[in-house]
Formats: sequence, C-alpha cells, structure tokens
Amino acid sequence: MTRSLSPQERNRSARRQRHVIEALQYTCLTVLAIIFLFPFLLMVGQSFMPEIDFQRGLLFPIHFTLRGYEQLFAQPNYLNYFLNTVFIVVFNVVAMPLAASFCAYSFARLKWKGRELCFAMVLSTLMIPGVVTQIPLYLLFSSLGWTNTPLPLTIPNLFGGGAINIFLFRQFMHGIPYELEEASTIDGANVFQRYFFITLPLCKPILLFVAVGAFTSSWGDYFQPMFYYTDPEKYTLAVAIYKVVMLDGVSENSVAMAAGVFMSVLPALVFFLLQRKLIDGIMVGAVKG
Amino acid sequence: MKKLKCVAAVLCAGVLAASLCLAGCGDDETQRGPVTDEQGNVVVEVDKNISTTLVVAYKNENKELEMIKHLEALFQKEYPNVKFSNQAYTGSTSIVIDRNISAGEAPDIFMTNSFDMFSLDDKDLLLDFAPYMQREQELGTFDMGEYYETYFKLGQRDFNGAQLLVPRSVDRVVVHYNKEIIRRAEEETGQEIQKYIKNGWTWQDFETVCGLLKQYSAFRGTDSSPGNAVIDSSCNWEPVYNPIFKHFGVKYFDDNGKPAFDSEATKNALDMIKGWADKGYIGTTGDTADFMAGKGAMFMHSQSISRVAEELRIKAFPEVSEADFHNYYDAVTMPVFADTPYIGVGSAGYSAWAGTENPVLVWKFMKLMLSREGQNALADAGAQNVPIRRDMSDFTKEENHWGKGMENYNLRALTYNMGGVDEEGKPEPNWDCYTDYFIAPGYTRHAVALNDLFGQLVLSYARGTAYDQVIKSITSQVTATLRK
Amino acid sequence: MQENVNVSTGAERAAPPQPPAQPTLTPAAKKRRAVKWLTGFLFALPVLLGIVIFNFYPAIQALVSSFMHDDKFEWFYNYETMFSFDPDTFKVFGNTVFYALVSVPFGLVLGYFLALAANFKIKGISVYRMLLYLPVIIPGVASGLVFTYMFGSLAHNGAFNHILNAMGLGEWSFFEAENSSMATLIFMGVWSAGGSMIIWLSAFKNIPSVLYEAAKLDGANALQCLTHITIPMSTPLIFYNLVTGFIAALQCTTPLVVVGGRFDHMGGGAGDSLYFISVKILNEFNYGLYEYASALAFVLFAVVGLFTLVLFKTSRWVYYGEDKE
Repeated sequence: MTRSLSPQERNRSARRQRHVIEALQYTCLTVLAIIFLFPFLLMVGQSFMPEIDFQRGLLFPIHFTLRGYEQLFAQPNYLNYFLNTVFIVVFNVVAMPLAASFCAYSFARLKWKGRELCFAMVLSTLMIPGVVTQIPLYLLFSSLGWTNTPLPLTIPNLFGGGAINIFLFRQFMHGIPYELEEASTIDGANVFQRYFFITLPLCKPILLFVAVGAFTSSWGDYFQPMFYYTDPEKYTLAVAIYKVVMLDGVSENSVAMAAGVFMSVLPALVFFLLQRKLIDGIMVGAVKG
Repeated sequence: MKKLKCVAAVLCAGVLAASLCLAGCGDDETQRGPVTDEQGNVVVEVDKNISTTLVVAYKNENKELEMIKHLEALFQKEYPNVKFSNQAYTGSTSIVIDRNISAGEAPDIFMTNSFDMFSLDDKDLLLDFAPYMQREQELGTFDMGEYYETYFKLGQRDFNGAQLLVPRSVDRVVVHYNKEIIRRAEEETGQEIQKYIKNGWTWQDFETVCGLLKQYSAFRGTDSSPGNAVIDSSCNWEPVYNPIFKHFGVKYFDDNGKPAFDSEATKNALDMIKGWADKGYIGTTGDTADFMAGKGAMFMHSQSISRVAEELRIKAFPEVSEADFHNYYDAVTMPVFADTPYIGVGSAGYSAWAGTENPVLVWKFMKLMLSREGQNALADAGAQNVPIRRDMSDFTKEENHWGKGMENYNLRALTYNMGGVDEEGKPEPNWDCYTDYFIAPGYTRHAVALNDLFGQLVLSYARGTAYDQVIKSITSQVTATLRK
Repeated sequence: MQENVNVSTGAERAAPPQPPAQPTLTPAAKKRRAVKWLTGFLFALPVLLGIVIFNFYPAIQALVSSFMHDDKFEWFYNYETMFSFDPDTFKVFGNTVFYALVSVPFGLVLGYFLALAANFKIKGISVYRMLLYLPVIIPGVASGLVFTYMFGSLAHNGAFNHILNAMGLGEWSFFEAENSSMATLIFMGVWSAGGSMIIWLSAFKNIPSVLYEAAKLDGANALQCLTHITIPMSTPLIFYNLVTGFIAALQCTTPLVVVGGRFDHMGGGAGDSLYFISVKILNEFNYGLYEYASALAFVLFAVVGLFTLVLFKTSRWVYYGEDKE
C-alpha cells in the first residue's frame, strides 16, 4: 500500500497522509501484538500474584510475591526434571540436524540407483500418524528396558532426524552451487570431507532452523514422555507440569503459573536471540510444495 | 530398479513375518505353583542367612516410602543379608507394573489396590499367597482370625480364592469436617448443627446438616447460582456411591453378565445423589467445595486423619498450633442408612510378581507386615491408617503405636462398627461393604474401566442429564467395554 | 505425489552431470559404479533403517495387533466392537473431522490477514512479526495452563469471564458447556495463527513485484490483485499447508491440556464434545487395551489417508508455475 507512493511526491499533504497511514498501521499492529501477548503477560503477572489477589479476581497483581516460584522450586525433584529435560534437549539439538543433513546429503548430492524410491519411502512416513506407531514403539522400547530412561526420546533421532528435516535439508542443498564440491573433489577430498567441510557449513541457516525446531519440540513435548516415564523422579519438565500441576491439581494459581513461566522462558529467550535468522529460516522452510 | 523392488518386497515380507511372530508369541508367563518340599508340603521357611535383593515398588504418595523403609529395616533384623531396592511410581498401578514387568524391571513386591490387582491378575502376573497362608495355618504360625477378613477378601481373585493382595491396613472412607465452619454457621443461623455429626450418623442427619449449612452465608447462593458447595463428596467414587446403590438394591449385572442397572432402584439411588447436587450440597462440574483450602465444610475420603489435619492446618489455619487444631477439625464415620448400614471400604496393600525368584521370602515379608511389629513399624513411620489386626484396634493402649499424638481426634470413626469390639469389649456389627460388581468371570480385566463408567453414571445424572439418556449411554459404554 | 515429481525434476537439474552410459563396462568402471552406489546407499542407510525400525515395523505390528483380541487372531473383532458397539466411535471421529475441517481453513485465513498487517513497510516491523509469532513457540503445556485459566468460569476467576462480566456481557461457559467448547477450542487457534502468518509472508516475498506493478498499470484494484495474483501464486504453499495442517489437526491432542481430566473422559471435554481420536486412543491404551487402541489408530490412519487423497485428487487449482503446466 505504501508502495504506491512514488519518491517524487514530496509535497506536504502526501507526507501528512503517509504519517496518518503509518500511525494507523502502528496502532493496528500494536493492538494485535497486545491481543497475542495478553495470555502470556497474564501468566507472568499471575505468577507473582498472591492467592488473595487471585481470589478477588484480579487480572494483574497489586501485591507482589515470589511464593509461587519458591513453592515450585521447593518441590523435591524439580532440579531432576530440569536436568532430564536438558539432557534430552541437548542431545536432540545436536543429533537431529546432523543426522538429517547426513542423510539428506545422500538424497541431494550422491547419485545412486533407487535413490528416488528411497526418498519417496522416507516422505511416505509423513503420512503415518504418530499414534499408529506409538503403541508398538512403546512395547518395543519397554521390551528393551528403555522405560524411565531418556533413550526412547533420543535414540530414534539418530536415525535420520525426521523425514521433514531431511526434506528441508535436501531442498536447501539443491540451492547450493555444486562447483564448490567439484573443486574439492579434484583436490582429492573424499565424500565425507565434502559433506562435512564443504556442504555442511553452507547449510547454516537450515541447520539453525532444524536445531531450534528440535529444541522447541523436545523441550515442550509432554505426550511422548508421558508414555515412557512412570517414575516421578525421572519426569521431564513438561510431564511434571502436565501430571503434577494439571492433573493432580495444584491449588495455588501462582505455583501453576510460575511453572508455566519457567517452561516458557527458555524457548522465548532462544527465539528472541535468534529471531531474525529464525524467521528467515522458517520462510526458507515454508517455501516448498 | 527391478532389483530394488525385489529388495523392498523381501524387506516388507521380513518385517511382516517378524511382527507376526512377535505378535503371536506373547509372554507365556504362567502362574507358578507354590514352592513345595519332597512330601509335597508348601515350604514356608527360608534360610535366615539368604543373600538376595528384593525390589519393592511403592506408589509415590503420602509416607509410603518411609513406611516401606521401616518394614525393610525390621525385616533385615531377621534376614540380615537381604537387601532392598525401592522403585517409586505414579499413575495407574496396573499399567505401570505391567510395563515394568514387560520391560524386565519387574519389582518383587509392589503396592496395589483391589481394582488394579484385577487387571494385573488378568495377565497372570500375581503371586498367590493362599498356599503359604494355608500351610502356616496348619503349622499354627498364622491365624486368619486375628485379622479383619473383609480386607483379605478384597485382595482375593473374585473375592473368593487366590490371595493376590495382602492388605497393609484398613482403608475406610470417613467424613472429614471443618469444625470452625460448623461453629460459625451455628452462630450465624442460631441452629445447632454439631449435634448431628457423630459416629454412626445417618444420611438423613447428613442431609439435615447440609441443609442447615446451606443457610449459612458462606454457602448461600444468589438467584442464579447454587452457591458454594458444602462438601467435597467425590460422589462418583465407588466407596461413596456403592453403599447407597446397595441400599436401594441396585443390580449392576444379571446372572448372565448382561448390564442390568436400568431399574427403579438405580433411579432412586441416583436421585438421592442428584438431590445433593440440585440443592448445592455438592459440586459436579469440577467445582469443588475446596475443603483443603478451608472453604468446604466436609470431605469424604479415605485419607488418614493426621494427613488431612496437617494439610488443612497448613493451608487454611496457619496461625493455629498443632496442639489446638482438634478444635478446628475432626472426622466422623460415613453416614449410613439406619436399616441397611454400609460403609464403603477399599483395599490398599502389597502384591508380588508371580515370577519372583524368592516367593517364600516375599511371603515372609508380607507376614512381617501383618504382624504386630510390622503394623507398629508402619505407624512409627508416620502412617495413621488403622492396623489390619483386630487386636490392635484400640489406639489408647500403649503397645499399639497407631494414632499416637492424635488422641484428641475422633479416631473411633475409623474402627466404628467394623466387626471388632467397642469400648466395653462388646462385639460390634460389621458395616463394611466392598464394591464387587465386576467379579463376573472375564469382567475383572475391565475393573478399572467399569469403575470409571459407573462413576460417570452417577456424575452425569447429578449434572442433570436425563435418566434415559444416561442409562442408554452408560449401558452402551459398558457393553462395548466388556467386548474390548 | 505431485510434490515428489516436482521435487525430483529439481533434483535432476542440480545433480552432477552423469558420464554418458557405455554399452560395455570395464571391470574398473563397474567397480567404480558399485562403490558410488554403496557410498550413496550408506549415507542414506541410517534413515532407511530408521524408517523400517521406527515407522514401517511398528505400523505393520499395529495393523497385525488390530486384528487380534486377547492375544488371539479374531480378524475384524476390534473393528466390529468399534463400529457396532462403542458409542464413542462416531463422536470422536465426528469431532476430530469437524475440528480439522474448520480449524485448518480458519487458521489459514486468519494467518493471511495477520500477514497483511505484518507486511506493512514500516520501521520495526520485524519486532511486531516476532511478537505475533511468539505464542507459537510457547510450549503446549504452558499455553494449556494459561488458556485453562483464561477460559475458566467466574468461580475459577477466569480472565475472559471477568472482562466480559465487567463489560456487562455476563458469564460465558467456554469449555464448561457442551455447545461452546468446540468453538472455544477453535477460537484458541487465533493465538497460533502466527505460524501460518509466516508462511503467507514468505509466499508474498516470492511473488515478483512486477506482477503487481503490471496489474496496477492495467487498473486492477486491491481485491483483484488478491484474487488474481496473490492467491494463485501462493497456491502451492496453501496446498502444502492444507495437507500438513489436516494431518496435524486430525491427530490433535490439545484438549488433554485444556480440559484434562475435568470431564467424563480424560481430555473429553464437556459432554465429550472435545473427545478426539488421538485422545481416545491414549485412554484405551491407559486401560491396557493395546489391540483395540491399535484398531482405532488404524482407522485414524485411514482417515488421514483419505483426507490426503482427496486433497491431491482435487489439487487442480494448485498453480505450479508455467514450466509445469
């Protein structure tokens, strides 16, 4: 809309008009941003709210208390939950992009008979709903004695790191000029060296995107861990919130909200720090089809 | 391409065959018979110096871990080389234990209740203690007469057979109530309320009390709302509704195992509970009276008096000292019908895995738990449950450790009319009543699901769903569940 | 499938040029070819193993066990139970399909309008984009907590009800009543519209601005630009997101965190109005009924397959650019 203004138009009324439009646009965006952030601002506010204020039906606290956080961290296993979650998250953040890029390299760069069929097979798994495989997988992992360990949530990611990620890497690698690799082949680099030293460094944007995706999905996932964790000392944070706060019901609102804030802080932080690159990455990821 | 297709086909066939094999040959874990000697007698003695490790799984709540640790310490005095490893778990016992067993992390001993026990038994996972008990009876080292038999029955297959669960304590529902609220309500309304609340009170008394409390401003609603609920009743919980159903003569299943609960009796029983909801005595949509926050007047639960007292004091009466708290809170028996007095009971206790390597040792552990020393060890660990032994029901005696420090509370509510003796030593009737509608063969595997469904029946009707609709929906749910 | 065809033609272009095929191969060349094949295959081996172990094998096993009852083969026993006995079946499938059909297009349309706003050419727009996208990255349990509270009744101090009440609009039932809970759940989708906003934004970015300039010269208005340029040029993206959106929505488990165990069934909502297939499968699993749960999962698989098939069969409106026509 603002595009229509040509740079030649420099008279006053046009400038005023542009200011009005800009003001309207800012207002519109600010209102939208407030609506979108409202629930989460409430969550933060209420985590500092004493129970009395909550019972009076206040939306934001007048008094300020840290009781919610104190009670939350006073739970005996909270540090354990956090460490369990961190282990799973760190493992996946490293393993998923590497595994996916490794396999995608084969589909994008190496020529071998049956490649397209295999790739189609990989893509076809996107169609299989998670719940179909969930129960047999559960039985498989439990017969291996993997329940109450992080293994079911980490080891499968070593095998390709997810069909959608392989797809993204493959698409991205097609966009990288092949000449670089050709040059290094002449210099005597083998296929691993070409993958690791030439192609991988060029995949940085998509590596970051997949890594952050791995982070958010393993940090916030409660559904999968719920199947595998029965020992309350070994829960992940998300399962702990789901089972302890949501199902068993913590009577104090501030504790529940503090748990929610604690759960959200890290993803929000990661997002804030990397937002420019991430939004670009998401757009790269979105352009396909 | 052709080769690849071949490979793919072989691969698929292989996977299919493998899964068929795996699916077909499930665990052939059959229940083993008891250990016997050359004469065919059941062995009930173990070498005191046996060196082994027993894995004990406990439900991660209350003071279960301390209780187990006390018992284990006691056991090690007799069997010094037996080590213990404790596993905590949460969630549905039947699923967790089943999972742990199939994962090769089978505990030797684990906490269960009568419902989960049935599901586990359906998979033949439980050790039968009956032969050991019988042999010890013959040898004169164990006497079933010393125990409240109801609770052992609850631990038996079909309530009449193999002893799959050994009860740890008496588990009976009581009404916890907030004396402070009753007092304030009496002051405001000028009516006497407390006088109705006593051991052995009736449902009529209960409704009178609720009605009077409803006149108190804290519970009075506006025109549009029924006001705050007076009581956290858990009316969809079987120990609460089943005695009422039993009074009205509800039959859950007919002799052929077909659902038979569409009857006048069911309607009357449901109407009684719905009446409480309509008058605002109980909440039915997740709204609770919030007894533990000091808002509700009463709370029906089997949780121990000491634990409820402690939690309520911390949450709602932080300024009241522990010593004074009996002026603010107490417990009383569940209300009953004068003509058919029943009080709902459940059974919590310990079971053992059928595949355990030391079945006799496990039985010895159970026997220790049932002994005077064992029951006292549980009490020393902070358990406030009533001992399973008849000779220990009197908490005023020095040698019975349970209930110590709680003498100001109405602990009699826990042992009132359960087939023991009263203060003067006269025998009391037995009002205990357990839920047994799912004992028809083949139904026990669905015990947990059926229990949920009958809970839904009560709750949906109390919420105002029409009778025909509720019955139709629950009947079809029950029929489907029994087929699953 | 169209997607694959499209993609693979791209691959052909980017792949290294192949040496011309020779009628007879020397042993050395044969060996080189074998090594080349092996290298490619070995690179792909992890994922091939992965899909066999973690996708195909479990899927087949689920299919096999769906034909079993009590550890014995009983062919369609579970399916018969499902369709002729279980009163939940049609409810859960109906709810799930309805939810998918409404929430996915709703999200796309909402995302479009959001993207229009997020595409303003003003200073600091990237900050606004970020703020609008932020709710998407909040973990499900955390947003579940906050939405449970937001949509709570007055007695539970629900934020929306306090606001509505202050505005004199009375108390709304939201998740508490059968007739409003589905609408509330779909309405909750507003806060995750940031996801489709980003997709629209990238679609806008990929449309050459010459097209708009040309249209402007021809005197086209904004609406015509939308219907004749923006939408047709974005159809591949819309299509892709419809497919993935439907697959995700059909497996939705959000009610687990917003209504949890408050009603009859775990995650079922008031009067089971939010009872979805995935949640039902979880509940049956929790009763230990693995075989029945597998049968349900397979019917869900069929529904997902059907949706995808219908989308692909009716995908003639998708515009893949000149070269593909």
